[in-house]
Amino acid sequence: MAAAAAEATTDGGGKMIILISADGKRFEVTEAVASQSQLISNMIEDDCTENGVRLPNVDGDILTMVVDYCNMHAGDAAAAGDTMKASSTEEELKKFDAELVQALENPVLFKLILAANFLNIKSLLDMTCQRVADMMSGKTPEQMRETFSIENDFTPEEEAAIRQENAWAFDD
Amino acid sequence: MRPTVLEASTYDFISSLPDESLQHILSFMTTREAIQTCVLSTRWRHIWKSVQRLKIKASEFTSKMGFVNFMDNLVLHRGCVPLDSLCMNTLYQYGSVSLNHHNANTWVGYALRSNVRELHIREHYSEYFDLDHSSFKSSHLKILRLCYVCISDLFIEKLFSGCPALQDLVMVDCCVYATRFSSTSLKNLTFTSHSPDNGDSVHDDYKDLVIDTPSLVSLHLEYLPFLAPCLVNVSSVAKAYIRLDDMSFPCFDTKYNILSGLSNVTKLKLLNEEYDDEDEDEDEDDSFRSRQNEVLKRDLWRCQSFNNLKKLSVYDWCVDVDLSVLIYLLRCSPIIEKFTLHLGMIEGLAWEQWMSYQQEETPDLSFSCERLKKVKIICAQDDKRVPAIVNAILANANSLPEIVGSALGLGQMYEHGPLISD
Repeated sequence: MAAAAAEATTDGGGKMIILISADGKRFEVTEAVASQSQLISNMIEDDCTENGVRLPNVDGDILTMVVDYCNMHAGDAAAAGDTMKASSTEEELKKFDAELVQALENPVLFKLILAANFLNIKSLLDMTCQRVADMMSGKTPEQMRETFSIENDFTPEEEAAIRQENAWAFDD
Repeated sequence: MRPTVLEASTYDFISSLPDESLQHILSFMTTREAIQTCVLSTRWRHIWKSVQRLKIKASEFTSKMGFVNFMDNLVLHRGCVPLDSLCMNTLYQYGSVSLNHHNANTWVGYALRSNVRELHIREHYSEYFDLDHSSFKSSHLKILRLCYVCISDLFIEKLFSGCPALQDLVMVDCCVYATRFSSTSLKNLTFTSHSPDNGDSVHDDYKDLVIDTPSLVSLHLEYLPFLAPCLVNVSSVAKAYIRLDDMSFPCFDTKYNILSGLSNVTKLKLLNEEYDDEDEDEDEDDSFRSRQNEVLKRDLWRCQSFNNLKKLSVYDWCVDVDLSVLIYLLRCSPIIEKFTLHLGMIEGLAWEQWMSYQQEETPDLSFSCERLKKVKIICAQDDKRVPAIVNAILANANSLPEIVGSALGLGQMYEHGPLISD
């Protein structure tokens, strides 16, 4: 985090802001790191980050992961100018992302989606949603219910009727 | 981070996500799979209908009838929900269901009416998708990627006039009859493999390939036999990748230009087709090759300067016995950082010229490229042209260039120190 902060000073991102999670944990990050969240980026533009940014629907545990992710990806834009350098960091990033996303399990994955959605961090949202899509893909509806503990609130008759109504998507 | 065991194993977290997140998840699945989530529970019943990115795979169906029925119903059930992207493809595999059908253009028309921003069509390799020009009218379409699609002159004309926001046009392995690409909005143009391996050549005689695109930023042309590039109004291009076919130029007409159109390019690759000598008529090849080289040289003499050029990769059209063309090219590139030269096999007459060349007086080979850090020469191990080129570069370069030798034909690359004989 310190290294990322030091790098960020060059593009005016040296100013620090405080993010405060739902459970009161505080995270000090540079503006450049925080700006990856479109929500916070807009707040910075409107000059309303002076007293810290309260994020009432993001837990400290989840915010830790989000901040790690943003710190890791803060170099993206800065490195883009230097392609030689970018190619090495790009590989590191891919590895970091792949490891992060593979490690995500059921509840944390969805909390992270909610946080990415709320904070409006597109790359993190895409990555986490892609992970869920991969977990659903190739499964029958029954297997999907099992994987995600989705409660089937249809009666067998209702389910059969919906299947019939959408037979064009089920039949070959 | 620390859910209770009970929480983790039985709570239906996914269904508690907001609609937009569920739609976002479904947009990463094929549309058919996404629709099948409608039976999961009441929460999921209608979610798929608002997904704005459709991924259609015809190869998910075992029959054409099943696929067409699916598409017709999809359009009907989805109604007027706006679309962001439509991607229709099929597997590159024998027996996969193709996209072509007399209803297919109504699906494309539906997407355009739904304000689609990005449209991809990838037909099965054994046939071309027949794209109808009449429906291509949209102020929202920005990206169009086509693969194995039949593209007429009229289509391109209607596309550029009917879709004023179009920025990206990609045509790969398409059957393209159009030879004139004139658009003020286009930023990225990719046009490669104009006569794919399963079909006859689209053109049986040379045509001018006119590209008139004042907003273009990136240009990629590759393997376009019988199409002679005439780049007009492309000075905004920053990145160009051009791989010429041996059958690129019918004559020496001055209208053919590549380099002289790309005056502001920062990254340029100008390569040619790497061919096998074995089955070819060598004399014929030689004459095509030398005509191509002459066209490019004449084009280069017209260039003043590539003031933004940082990375340049070219084949050996610019390597003459006296190295004058090569030196001129470097003189035109004052801020170049990386230069790559691909030396093909040299045989026959050209080889004799090299071997018998007697330097009568010392020519002026000076150039000034202060930022030139890396020179890469890809050549056969015993290519006799290399020492002359290396010496000319070393005499002017600030730092020692890296030379890479590649045993042509063996597909092996190896690196070693500068190939300087003395």
